[in-house]
Amino acid sequence: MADLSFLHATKASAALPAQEMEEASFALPAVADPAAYQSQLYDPASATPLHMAHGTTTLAFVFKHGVVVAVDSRATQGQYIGSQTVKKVIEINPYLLGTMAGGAADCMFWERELGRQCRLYELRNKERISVRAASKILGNIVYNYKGMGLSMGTMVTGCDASGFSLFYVDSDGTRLEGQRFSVGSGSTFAYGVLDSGFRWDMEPEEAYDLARRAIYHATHRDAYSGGQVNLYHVREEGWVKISADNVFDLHYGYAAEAAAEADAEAAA
Amino acid sequence: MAFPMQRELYLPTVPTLTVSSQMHSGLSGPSLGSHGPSGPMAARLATGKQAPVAPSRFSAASSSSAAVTVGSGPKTAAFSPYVLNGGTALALAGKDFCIVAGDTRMSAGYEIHTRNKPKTYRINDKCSIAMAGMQADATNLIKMLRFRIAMYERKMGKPMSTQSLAQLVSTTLYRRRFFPIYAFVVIGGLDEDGVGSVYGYDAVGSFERSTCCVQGSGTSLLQPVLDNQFDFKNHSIKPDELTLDESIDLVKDVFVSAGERDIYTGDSVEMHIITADGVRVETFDLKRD
Repeated sequence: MADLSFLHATKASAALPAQEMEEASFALPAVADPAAYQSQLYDPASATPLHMAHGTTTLAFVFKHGVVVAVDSRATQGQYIGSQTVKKVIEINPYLLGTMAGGAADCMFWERELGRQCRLYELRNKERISVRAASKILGNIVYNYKGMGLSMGTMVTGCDASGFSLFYVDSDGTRLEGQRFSVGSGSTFAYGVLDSGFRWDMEPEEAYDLARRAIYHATHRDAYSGGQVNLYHVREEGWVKISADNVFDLHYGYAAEAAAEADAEAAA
Repeated sequence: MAFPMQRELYLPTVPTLTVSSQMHSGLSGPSLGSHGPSGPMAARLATGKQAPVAPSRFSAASSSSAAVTVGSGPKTAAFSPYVLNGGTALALAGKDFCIVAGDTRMSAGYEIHTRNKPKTYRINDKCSIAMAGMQADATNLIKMLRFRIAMYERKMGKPMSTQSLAQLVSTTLYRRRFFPIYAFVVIGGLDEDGVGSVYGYDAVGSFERSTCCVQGSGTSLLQPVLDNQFDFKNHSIKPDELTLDESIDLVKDVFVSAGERDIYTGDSVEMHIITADGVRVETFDLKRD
């Protein structure tokens, strides 16, 4: 079984019963190179194609009033849209959020595990874990599986004693702190809108609108993004879900706004 | 609590090719070229010693069974553990009921192996599972799940809720993240408030609760129809939710339609109808062509 002892790296947990270790081990195929075998598994030309559900456009940014996180909700399996209602913001605990891009199962499983680790940290240390430490736990886990075909591009964000922070963690082992990130196939489109509209001292409402528009534009141009735009705001007292808007409504809402503006200009 | 199903089935580390390396040394002499006998027998002939017994693929010493001799040296045969057995499974959830259904045809390629292999499995009074994909993997998965559910119920002294089962299925699938279980699972049942709930999965355990989910070869035919006719997605005026009887009729309709357009769906449908009274099993026939 793959060695997962790093999941129980602290002293307190070293005494966990063996059964727990067995639980936390992965079965590997009986081939010479299990890592190389992964790429063969997901080959679309295979007679027994295996499509993992994939996530797509996500963004987050830190500004004066906290962190705004916005995501789309489409999951594709090859050309097929597996779901239009995926929750790509993963609520790790009341003050930590993670996002999902890449393999849906990978993000779901490991961010759930991260939630467990963060809770254990709280119980052991009688204080909340910092966003920095939480993101590092996740980064270290996925680094241990480097080359095994995990696919995740995630942002971990939240509020701790040092304020708001935002980290990007991916399955290659990259871990970066930053002010704004966008991840997924639609990220280039989202960045265009986000970078041109970003100001540090935005009011929360402005920030929501910017984030929503950025994801909307990504869903408009990227076929792998769509569904609805889910929006969260991380505040000092924890995160709040702000809205979930269908991109159909957003599209025609923005169109009506533009038309009204044009009318007003013509009248003036 | 040890899981008997999880004994040393698969190897953790890069396996060493014990048998084939022996065969290789045995065949390396000039007297035995590509015309000599091959296989473990050849090793014995060449070295005069008993070749190690070819280990089964799943024993700890093994994985070398994938190695066969071709020509003069050992080659590794492609490891292709999957076959697609086709078929469609679905689940629908209403306010106080749930329907889990699957057709009973099992095929591989153009060949129909059997017309009577249900894809639905009853778990308890509140929920059933249906699976499409590969029959062998599905059977094994249900065996693993039943074991883990039994352990849970012994430990907790209460039946497993549909929601807990949903998470259990996810982690069970993810355990095989690097060697996926080729089964596409859908769970249907009643949640703790008695409301119908459906959970759909991908092969490695990503899942989502919904009210209707189709898995297997008929997915792309049926899911859009059910989105429209059961969930009323994108309807500007939402009709009343379907009743149990209307939903049963809809399930029958969509399976008949899938049977007309999907070669892997047909023969008959087994349907688990879950209400507060428990699980009722109904079957109905499809065309056998």
